[in-house]
Amino acid sequence: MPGPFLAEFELYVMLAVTRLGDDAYGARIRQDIEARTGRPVSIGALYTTLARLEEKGLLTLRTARHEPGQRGRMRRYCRVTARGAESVSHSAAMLTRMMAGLKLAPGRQR
Amino acid sequence: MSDAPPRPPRLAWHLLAACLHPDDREAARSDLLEEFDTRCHRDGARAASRWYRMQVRRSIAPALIGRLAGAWSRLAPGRDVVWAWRGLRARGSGAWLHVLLVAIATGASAVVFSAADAFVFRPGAYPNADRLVVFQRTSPVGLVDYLTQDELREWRARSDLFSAIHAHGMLTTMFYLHAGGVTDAVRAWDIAPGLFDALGARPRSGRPFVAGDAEPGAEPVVIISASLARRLAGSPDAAVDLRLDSPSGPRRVVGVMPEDFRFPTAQEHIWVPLPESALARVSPMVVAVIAPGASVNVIRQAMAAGVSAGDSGRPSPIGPPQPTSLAEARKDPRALTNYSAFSMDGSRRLFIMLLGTAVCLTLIACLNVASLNVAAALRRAHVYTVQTTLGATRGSQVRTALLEGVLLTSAGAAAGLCLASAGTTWFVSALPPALAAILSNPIDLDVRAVGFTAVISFGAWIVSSLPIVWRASRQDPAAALQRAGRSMTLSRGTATLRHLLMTGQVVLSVVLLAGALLFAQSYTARVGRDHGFDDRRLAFLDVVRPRTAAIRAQDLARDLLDRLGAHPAVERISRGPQLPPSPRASSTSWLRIDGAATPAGVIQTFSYSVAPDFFETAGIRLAQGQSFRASDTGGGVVIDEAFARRYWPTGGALGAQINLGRADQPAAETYEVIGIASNLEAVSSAEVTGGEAFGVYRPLAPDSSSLGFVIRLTSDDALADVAAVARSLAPGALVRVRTMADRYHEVFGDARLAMALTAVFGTVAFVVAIAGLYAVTAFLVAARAREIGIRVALGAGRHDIRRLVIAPVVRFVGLGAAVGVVCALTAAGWIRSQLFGVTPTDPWTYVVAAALILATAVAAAWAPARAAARVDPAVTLRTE
Repeated sequence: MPGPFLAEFELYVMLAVTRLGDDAYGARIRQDIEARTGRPVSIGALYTTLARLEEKGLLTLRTARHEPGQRGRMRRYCRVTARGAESVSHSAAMLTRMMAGLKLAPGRQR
Repeated sequence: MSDAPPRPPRLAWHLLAACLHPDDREAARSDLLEEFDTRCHRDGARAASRWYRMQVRRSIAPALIGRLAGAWSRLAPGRDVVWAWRGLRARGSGAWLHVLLVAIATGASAVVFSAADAFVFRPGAYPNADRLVVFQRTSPVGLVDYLTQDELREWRARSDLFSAIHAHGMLTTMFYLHAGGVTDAVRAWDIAPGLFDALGARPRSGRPFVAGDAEPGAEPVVIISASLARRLAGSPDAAVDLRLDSPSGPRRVVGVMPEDFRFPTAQEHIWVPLPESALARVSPMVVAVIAPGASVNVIRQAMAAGVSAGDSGRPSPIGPPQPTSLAEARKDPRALTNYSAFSMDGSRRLFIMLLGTAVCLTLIACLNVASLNVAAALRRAHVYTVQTTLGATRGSQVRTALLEGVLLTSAGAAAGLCLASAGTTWFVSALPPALAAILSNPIDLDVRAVGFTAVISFGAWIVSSLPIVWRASRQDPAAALQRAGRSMTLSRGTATLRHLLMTGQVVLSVVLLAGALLFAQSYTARVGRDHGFDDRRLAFLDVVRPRTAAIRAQDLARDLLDRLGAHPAVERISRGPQLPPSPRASSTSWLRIDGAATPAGVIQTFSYSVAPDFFETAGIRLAQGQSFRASDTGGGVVIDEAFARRYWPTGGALGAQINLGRADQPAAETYEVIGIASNLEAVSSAEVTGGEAFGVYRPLAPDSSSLGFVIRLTSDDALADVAAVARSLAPGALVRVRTMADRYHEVFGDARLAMALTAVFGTVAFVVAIAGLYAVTAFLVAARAREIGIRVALGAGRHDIRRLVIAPVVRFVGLGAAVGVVCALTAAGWIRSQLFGVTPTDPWTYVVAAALILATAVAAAWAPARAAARVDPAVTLRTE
């Protein structure tokens, strides 16, 4: 079973978490997506999506106390589950198949 | 300069924190702080703050949406519905039984309430009813409604009390309409031209009557009902300017009344303008408009203070007129009808009694639902406990239980609505003529009763299931699972609860059964008693010739007598009235005997003109004297035995000279009593209140145009032949042939309706109660299987086990029967006026009802008792 199909923003979040690995927490994920896609990402939308992905079983979330010297109390670290990795691969493969044979103009980077 | 790090906007954070899920707040705050610090170092505090506020603005909507979506998924109504559906499937036939019980209760309640609403609760739709009065007065045959000519003149002059007094009455009586080769009689009513305006009713098409319509020489016009217009012209609006054939000649339709308009009842479909000149011949019914500044109380006081001399011709037993506001009087249909012989108060009692019957049936259904529910909830108690252990919250279990109740009750209510719709249609079609005559509102299905019954049923569900669900979710799951493998152990309280629910059903069933038995006995007594004539194979033929018929009535009568007299299906035929008589046909007179100047008294008489062989044909016994001879042209009368006993107690009625006239003046004719016939029992579904009514028979004049016949048939199947012969001799005439069954339906229809409905309700309640009793007994036997196995192992015999099962049934059903008898006796006093030939306290009725339910209860408990007696303790205890 390839897992549930990912919506656009869910796919971005999953890809960012995959890329960031152990360093995947809220602020870093947000910055990574915003930097790569050029679209503004709000913290509220991010956490809502993280909760949804966790409910679907594609992510696990771990709360860690802040390190000394940093403001704020905690960070929420994310890790992709095996099912989540399958969903990401499946969604990416579908996009690739859809784009096969198309000559698309390169997108703009903001 | 402060070394403290710059702080992000606090108000913005609080706003965002309120929107975020509590679990995400700290992490989101930390993330925002981290980026805020980074931007502060890179771009400055002001730019960082701007960014912070922008983040908050963009986060609020998705955060709120996320929280709502999360809350919805946590509530998970879809999941609850799935669990509720599984719970219903686990109930199996119990769920269908629940739906059936709710459907029966809902359907019955809705039908009866709809009828009661039309007859009793809903006033007629006359917008100006509170400014109108009618007048009722007592008479020997009940309440009547009219003013005498003197009273009419007197009160019309009182402009301080009345703005106008509009007369109405049944002078024209019938229109005979011919359509498609069929002649139909349509009841008409004469009204003063301004009456509909006074009521606040206007035609939907055409125009109302104007004053000139009642003037001599005016064009003959009528207003008709919407239903008649639809029959004649296809649509109400197309009937204006149609011409109808009336006894006095053709009349043009000038107006069509709205769909639900009724005046005075649902049976009148044609209204004819009443000329003032007609009031000189009759004492009309009236509707009076209260003058500005006056009121009903003022009118009552004025009428009480200045007692009218009244029409000097009226006998004193007729009471003075009592004014009543039409708005009040419409709650009692007596106000606008002349059907005084029918007890209108009785009709209200009848429908309120039926309403009580429907309520009893609903309560029985609810008690049965509760009993079934308790059993089902107990069987699934371990399931609730295990669900709680696996993480289900108590709230979700309660929601699931409620959803089960909503689904079952909704299905039952929907089925009940279908039953009610069909039942209302049947009820309208089966309405006896006597009740249809006083119906002032259409009988529409009232969905409020459906909703009310559904709410009651749902309440029974809640009360019987939620406590068990709540308690089960708090129990030790290990103990619950251990108990689930065995037969249930019932607490004493639970067993008692189920027995009490059963007892409640028995109480209500006894009440309904007793009521059904009383009404059945009453109806049988009414129909079966000796009415004073032989009603076997008796039929009545009425022929109404068209106004333009070529044949004379006398010739037609002779032809009918000759042809039908020779017909093999006819044993005897004679000219005479239909039987039994109705008090509507009675009249009040002053009796003078043997030429005395002073009247012997005021009497109420049924006066009939009959052929000489009428008594033989109708099977009326002549106790003394003889019938008329064919050559008799008048001068002799036959009276009934009651008349003879009343005024000649020591004998000597034969040969007496009697005069029936007015108080101040004898009648022109004096008659000799030549015969004394057996009494004809005056009949109405409610007995005539007070007074006596006597039969007086006069010889039918040779040139009489009466076309009423009494026929003794050779068999009951010959009715169609008789009608065919009559139609062949009188083409285009209205031919009505009625049997005694038809007559009894006309006069006893309401008693038959009461009997039918109480019998149906009583039977359904009885079956439901017994079915519930069987289910309770079987359930309790299953719950006590272990105990029974141990008892058998210890030496208990089959007889002992059967007694163990049946004894509590007898105890609780006996208690229910005893309480039910007391309740039934209390309720029966209220329906005393509805009964005939049986007293409300008839002991055998209650003995039979109680014995029937007790015997059936023992029979229903016998099967589970026998099964329990056959328990093999080795098998039972090994299974435990």
